[in-house]
Amino acid sequence: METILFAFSVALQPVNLLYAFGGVVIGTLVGVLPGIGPSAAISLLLPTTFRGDVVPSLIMLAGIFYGTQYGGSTTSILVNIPGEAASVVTCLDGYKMAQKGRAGPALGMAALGSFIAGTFSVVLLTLVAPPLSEIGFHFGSPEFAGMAILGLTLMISLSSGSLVKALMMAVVGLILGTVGMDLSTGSVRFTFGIYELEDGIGLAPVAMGLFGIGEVLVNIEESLKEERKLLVKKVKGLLPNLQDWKDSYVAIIQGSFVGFLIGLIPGGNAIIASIVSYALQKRISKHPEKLGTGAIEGVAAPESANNAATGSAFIPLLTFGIPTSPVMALLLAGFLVHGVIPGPLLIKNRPDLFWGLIFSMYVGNIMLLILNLPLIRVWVKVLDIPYSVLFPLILLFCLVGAYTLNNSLVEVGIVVFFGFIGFLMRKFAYEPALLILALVMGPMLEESLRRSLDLSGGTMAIFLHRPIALGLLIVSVLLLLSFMIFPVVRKQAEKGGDT
Amino acid sequence: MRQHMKHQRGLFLLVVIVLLALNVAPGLAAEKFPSRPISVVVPWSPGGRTDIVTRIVASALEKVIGQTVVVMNKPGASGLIGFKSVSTAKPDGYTLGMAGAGLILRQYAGEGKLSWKEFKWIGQCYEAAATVSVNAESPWKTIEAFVEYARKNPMKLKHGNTGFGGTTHLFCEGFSKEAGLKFTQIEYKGDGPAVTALASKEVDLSCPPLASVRPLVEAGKIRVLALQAERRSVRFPDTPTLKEKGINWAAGSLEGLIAPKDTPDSIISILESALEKAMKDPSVAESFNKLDLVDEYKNQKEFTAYIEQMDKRFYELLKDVGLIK
Repeated sequence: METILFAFSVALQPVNLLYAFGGVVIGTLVGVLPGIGPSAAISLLLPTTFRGDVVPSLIMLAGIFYGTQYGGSTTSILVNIPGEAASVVTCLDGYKMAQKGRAGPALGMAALGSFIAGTFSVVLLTLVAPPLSEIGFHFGSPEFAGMAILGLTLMISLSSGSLVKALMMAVVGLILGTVGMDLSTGSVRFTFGIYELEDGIGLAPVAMGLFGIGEVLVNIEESLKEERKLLVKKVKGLLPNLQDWKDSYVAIIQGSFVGFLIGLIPGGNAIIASIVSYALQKRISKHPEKLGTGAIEGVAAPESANNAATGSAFIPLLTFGIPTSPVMALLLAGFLVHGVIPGPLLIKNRPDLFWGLIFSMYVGNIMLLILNLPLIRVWVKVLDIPYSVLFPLILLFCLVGAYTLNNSLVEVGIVVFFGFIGFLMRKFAYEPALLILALVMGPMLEESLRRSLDLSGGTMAIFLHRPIALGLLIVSVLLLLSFMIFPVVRKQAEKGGDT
Repeated sequence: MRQHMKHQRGLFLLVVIVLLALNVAPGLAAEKFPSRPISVVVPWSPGGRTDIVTRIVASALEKVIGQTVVVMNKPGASGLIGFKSVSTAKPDGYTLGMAGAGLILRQYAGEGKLSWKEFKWIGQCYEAAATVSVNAESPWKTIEAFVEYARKNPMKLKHGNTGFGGTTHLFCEGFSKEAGLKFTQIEYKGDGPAVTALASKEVDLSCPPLASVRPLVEAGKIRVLALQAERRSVRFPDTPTLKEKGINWAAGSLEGLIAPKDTPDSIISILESALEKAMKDPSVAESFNKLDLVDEYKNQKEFTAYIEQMDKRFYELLKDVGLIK
């Protein structure tokens, strides 16, 4: 109790409140703008905190991080462009909802789901951080390989169209993931003499190209055929209604748990959390066929999961100084420059920092909700902006955003290239989300599989000896089998229904 | 008339020349280095060790040199993008870089030609000695016991490194060559994952700098058996160095200021003495100490000699591991 009072007294200090507010406002903006994501924003702002005090600095940087998860869904829903990578999955149902005139409820559910899951995650962070921090140590290379395989398997349930096309996209994503320097031999693959590609093809420029530029090109083509505004029906309602809540509450609960657990694992992150949660929703839903056509639970599940994952990602960082993602590595730097090394002694040595930071997240989540709900009214107005104004702006944000990633034109080139690919993919009904997700999973799978085999001296038996890895593989196989059987069953059921 | 005009033109030219000379001469005299902000290129992303170190040094250097020192991050291709932007910059002392062991290794890996001789090595800023670290639950309490076990069981123990031909791979190769040991190398993407793998017993040893293992040492998950340093650490005075134990190997991450190789010596010496003064600023040592880095200053001559020697040592080791054929 004393701890809680102390924690709130730190978090509620005016200066800390101000920095938390600044952080979540910047985070929301960064999330909304396609192109610039949390890593880019935090690395730009990190140097400004070097001379400041450590507690408000970290409160602000953390605010940017979880703030982006709120904002990221906005453009996914409105214009089918993920504001940052973890919102790729939200495009699937969010954009379809907007096209049906239900952008308001979609945005509302994204904000409320994010709030519930974010707060849930912070509550667990407060209560069980130290015991849970050990989970990371049970996740070695074989377990990562298992996770990646499960992730790739689950991606199939994300596709709503042709299965063959979905698999093709996944394979293209995996192939793109092989570009760059090979970790185990130091040799360079498929870079064609472009030095920047040694680090691999970045996720953000590919996503901006496939979604952002691709969407713009498709719409330009359509507007050349006929003069009209965005393909949206009149906006109906701004907030989710009772039926929406009935449809979504299961999604929010499971998204919160799934996101929290995946956030704990080093290398597991908000993107994977959103895939798993969406796929799980499709499994447990009474109307799985509705997902992908604009179902509100298809927004609630991934948005809850990615927010829950941001909270739990702090556990390995705060308790062992282990960053589980690039953003967490930047936050670690935020500690280090002030001479604070996060680890088991942090609670004892700097309780003001440890508890102040955690409790600022409660405050920050409330701020985000208050900030985001009224903004929905503003965002749905974005849909009234004519093409001729909106799309040049999207192009501008994508290209500038790509340049700011590394201050290099190579990323801009990647965006433009994948923009044309994205245009063609849309014309021929291929799902860009699958390519992006495979690009995330590919390097993870390759690296962890090869490392597992190095560790075992080349024998696959290592996967049999590790219970978690084995479990993940068995689940993947069962899922694959069910994918093969279910369509047959469903088709027969549909036939039965028709007659 | 014509002659008069010619005369006039000549006079005009003379006036112009005199005016230009008058204008330029004070300009030249005022061109005292540095007369505008200096930028230091960090070839890695913000938040990494090099970035933090550079910002600490830059703020101390500003006070000495009387000009703003801007830190610019140019990450990509294991540092190549940033290194190239320094080596191809105008050699006027206004574009510098921060580099060390990473640049030496980048010469032999990946694409694009790069040589440490394309730079002037103005002065070293810090050193971070590598360690020999094992899991805290492992049976080895001393470096002697560990070396004895490893000698009897060649290739049995697994070393978690930060990529093939990366820094910790070579720190381990140097140590094992001197001690007559053989390890199986397992590659990870950076210090963080390699250290986590050591804490979860996926690998048996790792050779990262002290700063990377400290949180897990404090958590009782990792034990540091020895430092690959010339001297013991102030923070862990009980941990011996390899040299004390008869293994003639010391290595670690180190970095300092670099400039394009054609930068005039007059400017280099201004920068060198400014850096020397800046490094004496007590705030630098204090900040470095918190990061488990040693504020080991070396002047241009010592630093260049050290880099040359490091290049030779790493070249030999890279040939041993087969990266250079």
